[in-house]
Amino acid sequence: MSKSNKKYKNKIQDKNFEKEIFVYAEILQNEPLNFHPVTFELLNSAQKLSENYTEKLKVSAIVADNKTMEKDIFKPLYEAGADKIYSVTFETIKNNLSIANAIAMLCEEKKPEIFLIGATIEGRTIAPLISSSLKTGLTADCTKLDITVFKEEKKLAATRPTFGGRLMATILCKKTPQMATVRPSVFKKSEEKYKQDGEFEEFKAELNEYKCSCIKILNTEKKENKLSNELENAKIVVCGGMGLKNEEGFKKLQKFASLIGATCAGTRKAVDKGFIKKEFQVGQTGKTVSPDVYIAFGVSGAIHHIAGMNNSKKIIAVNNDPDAPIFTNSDIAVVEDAAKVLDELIQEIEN
Amino acid sequence: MKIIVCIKQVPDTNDVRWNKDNNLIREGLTSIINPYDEFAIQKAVDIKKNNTDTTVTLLSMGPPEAKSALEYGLAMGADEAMLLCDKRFSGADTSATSKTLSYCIKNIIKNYDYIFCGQFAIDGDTAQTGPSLAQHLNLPVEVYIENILEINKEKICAKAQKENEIITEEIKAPAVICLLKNCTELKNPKIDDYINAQKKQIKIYNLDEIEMSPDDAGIKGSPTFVQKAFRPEINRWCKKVKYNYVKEILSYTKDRK
Repeated sequence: MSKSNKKYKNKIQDKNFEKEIFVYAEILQNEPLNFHPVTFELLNSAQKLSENYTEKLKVSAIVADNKTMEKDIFKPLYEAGADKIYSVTFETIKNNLSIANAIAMLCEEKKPEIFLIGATIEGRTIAPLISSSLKTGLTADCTKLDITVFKEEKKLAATRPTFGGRLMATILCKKTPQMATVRPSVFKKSEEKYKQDGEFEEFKAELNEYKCSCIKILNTEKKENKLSNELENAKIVVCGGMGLKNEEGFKKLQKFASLIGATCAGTRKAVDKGFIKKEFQVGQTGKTVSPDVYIAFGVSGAIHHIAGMNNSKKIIAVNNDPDAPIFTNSDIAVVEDAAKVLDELIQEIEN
Repeated sequence: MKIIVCIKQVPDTNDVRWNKDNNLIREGLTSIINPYDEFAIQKAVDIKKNNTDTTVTLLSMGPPEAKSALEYGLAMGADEAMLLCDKRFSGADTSATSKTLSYCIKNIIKNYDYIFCGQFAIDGDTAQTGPSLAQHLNLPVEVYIENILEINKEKICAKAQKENEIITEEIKAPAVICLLKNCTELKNPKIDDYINAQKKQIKIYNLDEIEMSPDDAGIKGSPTFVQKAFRPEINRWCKKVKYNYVKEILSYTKDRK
């Protein structure tokens, strides 16, 4: 079977080379087709970045799978900000290696300027595989993306926390594509729909069959706690720390949350104590949230926790220790016992 | 079997201090072995216990002080240790670092069955070096490994975490395996282990010895660079509310369902 000439079948004839921003569209589930929410957040962010160029960069979503898909099922990607969709397909089994190698081939041909990937488990694996094979740089877990001028050239300025959140570093890349991964919920998905339709191109990648078959899946079990975006999507998050002391304190937190329509979260210590499930942990080793309002009850405000909630619009902190570090990081500071304040809030609403 | 474990010495991120110009004080920072790497070493040593023909080689890149992390790894039960140490390696990003490691593996170590890495390093937390290393060596890689069920010269069977599921898979050797914490139980080395470890030598290699071009190493070989580093900005009101806090809090939570 001769495959060698298929590879360039789809090459654009157009000589007017257009600069592009690639966004990886991570497939969570094939039927029905479901993308990781970070895909939509990155498309919106890519649109905003592209406006910094005199000639707006094209935002292209990259979908990779071992079967071809019809264009119409990609509508959500156009709506979220994709100008173009590349449907990358390959004939080997689907795993991180085949996805990464196929996308690297696409990049070699299209030479995108910037490439954004969600910092999910899959994204964090394929991104370094792609960047190494393209011999370019990659910045992990960015919390801010900008376009800056460096030596008269427009560059992606990727800012990320390092040293466990104690230091921020803005990182530039000398080569292209300038690659970055971004954690889910750092950016917002567009509230308005960009468009209904756009360009579409299929790209067939010829992969090394042997290499891709080095990893064989034997068994798959669903995680007990299926991916829950409840916390990341919440408009109000109420978070409990050790200042709530016990299970009773967390019951009050749950009650208050349900009264105001908020989602409950907890600190790492609260999770370790079993007061709240791990999937609702906020912080460096948990989730990153950016709600409109974040209310912390009895949270001391360790830097690892702050790293997970610092993008919240308004932060309200309740803690009986006036020196708790959380207060320097909050808009409203209430120096009171957290459980007592919860009682008062619940009483006020119920009356 | 021969297992290489790549390790990193990292500053203890719980111990970071600042000077009055908001610069990180690097002097006197306590250095520790990256906690994830400690688990990777332990896992390799556990495997060695059940497979007597197995050897464990530690590999690190860093300043001469990084020897202490390797010494600790030897005390844990590794057989040999190598340190890639050269001023020309400094300032490397994950791409240049993984490339440097790959040169040593290709040109010095040559024969091996598996390369173990910790999933993250607690200072940079990029999780990139393992997969990049695999790409430079043209090897398969699997990440977020929470347990190894079976391992032999041909293949490894392991459990890996994915976004929604946990998968059991078979990976053909040679391969790069990135391990999570708690993939095994740490056994702290005893005095005797430290004494035995002192008999083992740490081999040090420079850039020329691993046959690497200076253009590929350190700052020169790094596609990324830090434009600026700064302390996270705090831009909050910090408004203290003593009375009427119930009304104040509720005024923010209304109509946001």
